[in-house]
Amino acid sequence: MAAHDDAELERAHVEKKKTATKRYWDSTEEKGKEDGDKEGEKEGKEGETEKKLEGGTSVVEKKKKKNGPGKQRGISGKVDPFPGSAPISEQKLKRFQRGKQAKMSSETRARLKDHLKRSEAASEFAQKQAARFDLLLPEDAGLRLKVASVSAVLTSTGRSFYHRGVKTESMNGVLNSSSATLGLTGASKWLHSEAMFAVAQKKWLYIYDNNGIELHCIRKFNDVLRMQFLPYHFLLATASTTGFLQYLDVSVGKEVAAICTKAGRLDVMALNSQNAIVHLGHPTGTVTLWSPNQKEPLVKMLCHRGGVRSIAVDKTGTYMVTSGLDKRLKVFDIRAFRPLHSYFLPAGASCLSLSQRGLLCASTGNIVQVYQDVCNTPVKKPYMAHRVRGSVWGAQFCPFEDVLGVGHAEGFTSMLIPVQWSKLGWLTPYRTLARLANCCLTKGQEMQGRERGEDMQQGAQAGFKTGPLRWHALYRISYRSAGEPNFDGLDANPYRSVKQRQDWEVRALLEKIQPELIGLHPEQLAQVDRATWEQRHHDKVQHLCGKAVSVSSTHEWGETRFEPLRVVRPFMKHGVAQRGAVLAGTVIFASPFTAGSLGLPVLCCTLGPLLPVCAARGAPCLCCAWCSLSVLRVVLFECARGYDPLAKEKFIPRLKTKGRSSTGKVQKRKKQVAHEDQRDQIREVVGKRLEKERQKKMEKKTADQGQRSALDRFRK
Amino acid sequence: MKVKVLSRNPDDYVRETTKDIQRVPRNYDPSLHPFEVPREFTRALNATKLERVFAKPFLASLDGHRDGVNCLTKHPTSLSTLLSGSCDGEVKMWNLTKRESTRTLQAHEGFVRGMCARFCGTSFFTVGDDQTIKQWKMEAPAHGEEEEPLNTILGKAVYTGIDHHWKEAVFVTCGQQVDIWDEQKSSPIRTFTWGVDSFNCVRFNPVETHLLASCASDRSIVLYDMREATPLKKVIMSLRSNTVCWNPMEAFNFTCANEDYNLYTFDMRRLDTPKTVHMDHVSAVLDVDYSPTGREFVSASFDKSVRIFPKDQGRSREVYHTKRMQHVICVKWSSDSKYILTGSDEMNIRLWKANASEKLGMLSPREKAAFNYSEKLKEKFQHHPQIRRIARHRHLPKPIYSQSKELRIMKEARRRKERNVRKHSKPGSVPMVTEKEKHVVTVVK
Repeated sequence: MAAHDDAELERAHVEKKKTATKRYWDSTEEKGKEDGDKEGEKEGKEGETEKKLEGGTSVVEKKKKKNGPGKQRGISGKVDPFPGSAPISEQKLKRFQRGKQAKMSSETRARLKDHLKRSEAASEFAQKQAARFDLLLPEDAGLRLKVASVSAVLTSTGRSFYHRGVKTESMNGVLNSSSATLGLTGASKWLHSEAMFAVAQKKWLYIYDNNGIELHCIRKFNDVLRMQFLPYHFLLATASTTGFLQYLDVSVGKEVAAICTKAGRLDVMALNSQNAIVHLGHPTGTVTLWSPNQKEPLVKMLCHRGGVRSIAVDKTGTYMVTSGLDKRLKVFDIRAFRPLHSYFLPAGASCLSLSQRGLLCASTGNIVQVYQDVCNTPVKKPYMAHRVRGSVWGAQFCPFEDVLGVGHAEGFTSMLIPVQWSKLGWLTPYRTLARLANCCLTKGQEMQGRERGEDMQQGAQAGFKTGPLRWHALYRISYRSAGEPNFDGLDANPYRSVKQRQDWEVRALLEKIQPELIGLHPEQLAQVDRATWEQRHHDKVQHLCGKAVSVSSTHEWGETRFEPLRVVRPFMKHGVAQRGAVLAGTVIFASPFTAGSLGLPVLCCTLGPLLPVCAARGAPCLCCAWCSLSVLRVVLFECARGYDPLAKEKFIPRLKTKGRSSTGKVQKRKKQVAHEDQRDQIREVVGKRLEKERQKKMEKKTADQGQRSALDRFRK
Repeated sequence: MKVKVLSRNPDDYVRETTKDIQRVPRNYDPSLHPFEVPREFTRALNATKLERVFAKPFLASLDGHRDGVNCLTKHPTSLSTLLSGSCDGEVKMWNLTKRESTRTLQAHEGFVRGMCARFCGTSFFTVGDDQTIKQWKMEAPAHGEEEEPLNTILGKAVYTGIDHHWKEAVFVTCGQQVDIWDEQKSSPIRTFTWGVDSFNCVRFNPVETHLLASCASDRSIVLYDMREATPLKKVIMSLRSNTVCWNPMEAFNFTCANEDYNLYTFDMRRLDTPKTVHMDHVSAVLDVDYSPTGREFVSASFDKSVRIFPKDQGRSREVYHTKRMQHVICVKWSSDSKYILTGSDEMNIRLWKANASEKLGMLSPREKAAFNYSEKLKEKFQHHPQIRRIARHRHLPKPIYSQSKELRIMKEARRRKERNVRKHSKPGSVPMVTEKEKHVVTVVK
């Protein structure tokens, strides 16, 4: 590359002798070459992925190929060291993928195809942009230094924490501390903003504002043990000692659903923040998943041999961590409902909490343990452990901070969860990074530590900070910090002003998701409901069934008493009883005979003496018993099945008779010998008629050929 | 001991002074934005509801005519000028921004049958029941001057329609025959007849400027090339067409307003079946006009309503009506594609918005972005039953509502009968005729 540059320079400036300025990327490239194959391989991979992502070969790419790999000359004659758009790793792209590409068959209409292509191109562009945006995120998990001694944890009493909580932890649902200061017995939960929180007290559920003034006392919600708040639905889900799971719409103050779980005391509860499904743990060792729309659990999982003590669901809605009385800590994949890992904790974990970045806090007695990455890789020992004064009642990570709040018998403790120093490793910069930064990097940052292969794969990401004079490019490695370092200002903003909060509140209320939309897969709403043909047909059948005709009162007939049940459209094809007859106030009975095998109630109507119709569609020979009674006209109705216009009549083979005297043979013989004396005459007549028809046809044909038509009057 | 934890500097997140706008850091990580689809759905639902709330299309009524308004003409260069001719022979010029009449002239005795403006906008032509074609100056006469036509041609029979060429000094009239006139000459340069007694409408194609289409009273639509001596071809329909209008963007497509309550969009190259049958009116359709974008057209009907149809859809997307509006005789879509003008029997000209819920006036960029966003959302969820129900709902006056119901029942009965006939006759002897094929009798070349 250097040789190439020199040649270029010679051509450009004949007089002056100039050496090419040394650029940091030159050194890094050389270094990269020296470093070995690893880097090279990786780059190759990146290049490949880029090509894949770009799809068709653009003009730029073609040019690139002509000039040789990775070289393009600008106006100044300089070679662009980083040609093309910056590569994006596939992993990152995948994170922002929404749905799959539509399959287009050859039958797809052209306009639809065009529309799909365009919208897919737009979404792909958006996906790439979003994936690129990662580079511009301001905060980094491991960047900021905070000097503090680990032993000095911030402690304060429960009461003061409430006051401090309002000020410092402005996110909703910060704490689930069971502090005794407000005379609390059960749980407490922040509502949609820091201005209100719900507290379950001895008997009822209360709502307070941030000054501690009681706003509401909700008597419909009694003996509440645990609470969860669904911020996008404005629902407060409560689990009570009586086994009721109740949902309160806090925006209008109405109870949305009350479900009797029939599972006794409900003191283990967690919320899946991705689909608003409530997880309840039971003493039987099962975990049940609930939505307000269904009286039965959506899912019932047997997770532990003993009772379930605590549940935590991670932020992405992928993993559920449970601990039970069998002293086990288990990790489940709740998309596939599959166990992933099982750990044994000698003392068992009483309460679990997952942080935004996936740190797990498990407390046993008065010890709080923090684990790193329990979900993905099996861990052997905790990353941190801390002993608090009393036995732990509840622990929760603070969102967007590296802080863990622990409520225990002696009060409240908040702990810092630092990022480990020893695991830090600096990576060699990516070329893209450097290009984006457009600056030199200081020397010290190119260190060799590559302990974490995983980080290598994910690739370094850059964060920038505007300094007074120039840009500093900084490296980032995905550390395991507890909280999410970069919040989204439009969603949950810890630094928002009062005005911003008010605006947000109005908008959030307008966009309140209706509780009917809660389900296991919220993204299903955007998918096309491809009702199968069977399903649509079934709906149609049900629809056709439902029309009632006049129903007579109870009528005694023979020795049996019939009760009218419900009248549906008769099977018309069996036209023994016409529809008119039914409409004309026919007596309609419920037969005492139900279709034995099908278990369907059958309605019958009678009118005038005739033979019974026994075979009805779908309910063949239901009325054999009726036949023996000299039944009049009978029509069979089928209640539960509805009217199926497309139903094929069941094939009933005719009774085959064999031998000379069988009916079939007799009929055949009769046909053969019928009208023997008049045959010649018939033949003649038929022949004449055929001849006439033929002539007519010929005439018509000739007329057509002559192009004569009724429309001739329009020609002049 | 040193540890590493997250600690943010609030200065990076809070605005420096109260004069600044608030800082909003973004993170597009999907796990920070749960319920993406349900939230979007809720937004779409709200947007749809708001659209219905703000749907107030009626803007103004221009009154001043002393008889029913029979024809309307847009000014080719000035958006705010409108010409209207009434059944008492009066022609009025309107200023739409001021919503007042600027000029009145008694053009004819009897009806003003047709009117058209010259492409340059300096003069306009009228034809009337008094068998004359008159050319008028667009400018009002100076003080003291008399209102007199620039030019008057006395014909032999009543002219029922007139249209001007889009580029040349040529205009066309229709009546007993279709005549093409040079502006400088007092006799037609070409005359077309094809065995019909009268025509009711003739229109020049705005793109292929030599082409003409006309509706005749013998149920036919006749196409002509101005350069040829004979007409090109004609299609005969089951009932008479009242008006025809060319698509200004697709030169070969035109739409005709028919007496059988329907509108038909034809491809002039294939006249045997219409491209689309537009059904929704419950009485004869009297006039049709395309939007300048060529994607939609508006139709006026005898059922006292105005409907807007997308050019390729069979059902209307919008219906306008008021208690006072009577049979709508003529309709025009304004040249900026934002407004619709209707002239009706009860002597009024009405001004409507083409998009009922559109906000008029300047939009701030944020407003525009918000509108675009909600438009996109509405489009995304348009087929969702909950949203479709709200978006489709229109209040209809009782006569229209009951009549459309009646029509539906009649149609269903006819369909049922046909089905039964087919069922009980030899297979293949009763052919299936599609709705498109049903209304075209034949094509003659």
